[in-house]
Amino acid sequence: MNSHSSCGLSLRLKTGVTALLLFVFQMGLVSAAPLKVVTSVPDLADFARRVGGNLVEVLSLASGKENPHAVALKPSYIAKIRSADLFIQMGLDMEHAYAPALLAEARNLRLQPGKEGFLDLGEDVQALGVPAVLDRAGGDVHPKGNPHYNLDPVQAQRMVRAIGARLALLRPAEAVLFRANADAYVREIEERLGSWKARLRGKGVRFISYHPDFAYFEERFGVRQEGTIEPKPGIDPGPAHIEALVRDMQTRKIRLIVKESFYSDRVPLELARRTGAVLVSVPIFVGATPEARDYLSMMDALVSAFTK
Amino acid sequence: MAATLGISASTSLAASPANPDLEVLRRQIDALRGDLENLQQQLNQQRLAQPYAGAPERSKKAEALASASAGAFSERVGSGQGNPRSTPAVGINPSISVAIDAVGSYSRKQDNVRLTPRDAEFVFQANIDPFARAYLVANAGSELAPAEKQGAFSEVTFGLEEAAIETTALPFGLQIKAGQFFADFTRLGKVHPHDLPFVDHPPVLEQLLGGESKGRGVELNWVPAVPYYIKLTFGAVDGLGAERSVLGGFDLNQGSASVFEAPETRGFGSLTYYGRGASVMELGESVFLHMGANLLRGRDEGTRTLWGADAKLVWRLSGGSEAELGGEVLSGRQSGTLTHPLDGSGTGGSQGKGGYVYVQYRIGKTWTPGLRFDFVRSRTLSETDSTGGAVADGLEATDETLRAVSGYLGCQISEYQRLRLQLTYAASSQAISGESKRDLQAFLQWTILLGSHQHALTP
Repeated sequence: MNSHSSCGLSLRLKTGVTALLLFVFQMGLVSAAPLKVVTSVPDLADFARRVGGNLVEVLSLASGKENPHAVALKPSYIAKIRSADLFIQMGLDMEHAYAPALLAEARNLRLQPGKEGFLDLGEDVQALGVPAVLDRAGGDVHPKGNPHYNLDPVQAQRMVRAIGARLALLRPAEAVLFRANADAYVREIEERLGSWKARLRGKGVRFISYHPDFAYFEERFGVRQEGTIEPKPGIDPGPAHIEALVRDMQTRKIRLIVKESFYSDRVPLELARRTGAVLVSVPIFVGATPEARDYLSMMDALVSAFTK
Repeated sequence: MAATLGISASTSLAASPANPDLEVLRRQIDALRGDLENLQQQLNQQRLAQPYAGAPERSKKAEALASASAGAFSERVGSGQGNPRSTPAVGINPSISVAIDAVGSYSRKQDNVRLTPRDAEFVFQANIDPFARAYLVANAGSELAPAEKQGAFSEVTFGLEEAAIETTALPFGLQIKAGQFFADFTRLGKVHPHDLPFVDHPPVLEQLLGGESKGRGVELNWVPAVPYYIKLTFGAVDGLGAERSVLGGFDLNQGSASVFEAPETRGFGSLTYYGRGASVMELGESVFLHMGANLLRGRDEGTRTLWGADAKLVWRLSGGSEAELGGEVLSGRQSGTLTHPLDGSGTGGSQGKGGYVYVQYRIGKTWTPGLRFDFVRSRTLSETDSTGGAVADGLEATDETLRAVSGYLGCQISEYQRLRLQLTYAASSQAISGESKRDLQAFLQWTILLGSHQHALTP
């Protein structure tokens, strides 16, 4: 009797302990804090949010409205990076003016280059426009090549997958979910890519832009950049360059001026007035304009601008 | 595609090596692979030759040169010419950069023109290993003293400005720095001259600190993991600032100052200890308030105590424009044995206090007009000669006040080049003798950067 009673008690105790352990384990899972992700530009933040869902908290240092090479930093970014689990950047020196110093001051040992918390998406890009000669007489050149590869949706798909893989590495328990979310977003981009290509196919679009931001977009969609308003990257145009550009546009019958949204309207408007070309202001990052709410809508807006 | 073909072909061939049809297929695939590799190589060379530049036109000669250059480089790499072991070494060499700060100045009172490289700064920096980095700043330059006559090439000196090691992998947001460095003391004391918002260091920093907070010793700082930015610094150095003491003279009164004697030997008690706390409040999306407080006590030259506070309000506007209102107050006392360049020694004390306020507005990314107001008062408290009681000749008490207003206009030609014009009206007066002096000074500063020139982030 006593033995039976003690066996029952022991069984109830074991069951209770097991239930308690399961409860604690589940609570642990439920209350696991979201991964804190900091990205340099909002396109990467969009990818991270889509892949991570409510398991990530994402902050983008750039808002998308500013020149990506001159992001105005907030002091609170240091505190955010200090407690972050992952920092994602475009690389190819796009963030060289601020990211290294910011990461150094934040002193988050998990986010240093080479660690799991540091993801440089530019490392696997076959960069276009790598300068044959490095000389600042050529303007603000990027030694590693053109960093604006976010405007190629195929690169976007690669970035989404890479972010999914890195989130899975940081939180293996959610790897299946991260990979599924990444695959879903990649498929969405693939579906849109077909329609974007169809809209630009055979148009023979020739244009000038303010800065050489469209190299990868050109390659993907077959449009052709014939010049830039800046005489050299990062150098504002002077009267002589504007005159030469007007003559060039008239001679070569270039009918489209594509101005990245954060540049001044002054020179593009003058060029449009003197050449009769159509002037469009476009987003080249998520958040740059009201319609560029996420990557897909940003690319929609961009493709629409090239069909005008 | 090529990789996929390669894998499937080798797998099937391994299964039946003697099949003649497969042998033909293998040759065809090898030929295709060779063609693909050739195409890939051509594509890579075209990409290397294509510049990332916005020039609407590029001459055929330039294209040919670029192509030839890229091709030659590819061949050298491909053929393994040169010393193969030298390539990785280039990648881990320290980064080298140069800042040249040329300043021309004119003093109306002295009718004196100075044309000088105020500062030519050479910076070498690299990580030592995963745990620390080091940097070295050597500079050649001359003092910014518009009222002093300058001999051609005679007053440019070459020296070591900073040579420091700092940790990069300490836990809890800690960092230790050791060597010779610009100590984290005051807002602008640690800023290199070419990075200042104006041409010169404010007189209060010149007077009480010698312009720059240079020190030799060790500094510990901490950025705690809290939701807002805060930085706490503590340091112990063998003297801080240039050779000046609180009694250092103004530019308007060169040569009239007494100086405190330094001890011949130095224990831990006679080092200089300092601390700074700094934080930034975000007042909305685009307004930021930077604040700092500083305290120093040392026995490097007499017994010196300095304390002060600083603030800066930054308001970011659309189009890259930015308004900034900043200021700093600093006060100090010093006492000990005094010597005068001309007349003997004695004991005494001095005190100085002052500050500056500036406001500037950056219009877009090019133009920055601004105004700065300065106030400094420096006076000896008491002085007696070594025989007791009497005031030594030349050690008479002083009570000097300087007021100045400066207007400046900066023009950022590119990210790496800036011009700045500054006009300064300064008036000093001696309360005891009743003597007063006035001067109008003009500065034209031309600053350029070569290489990737970056100092640490200082919010």
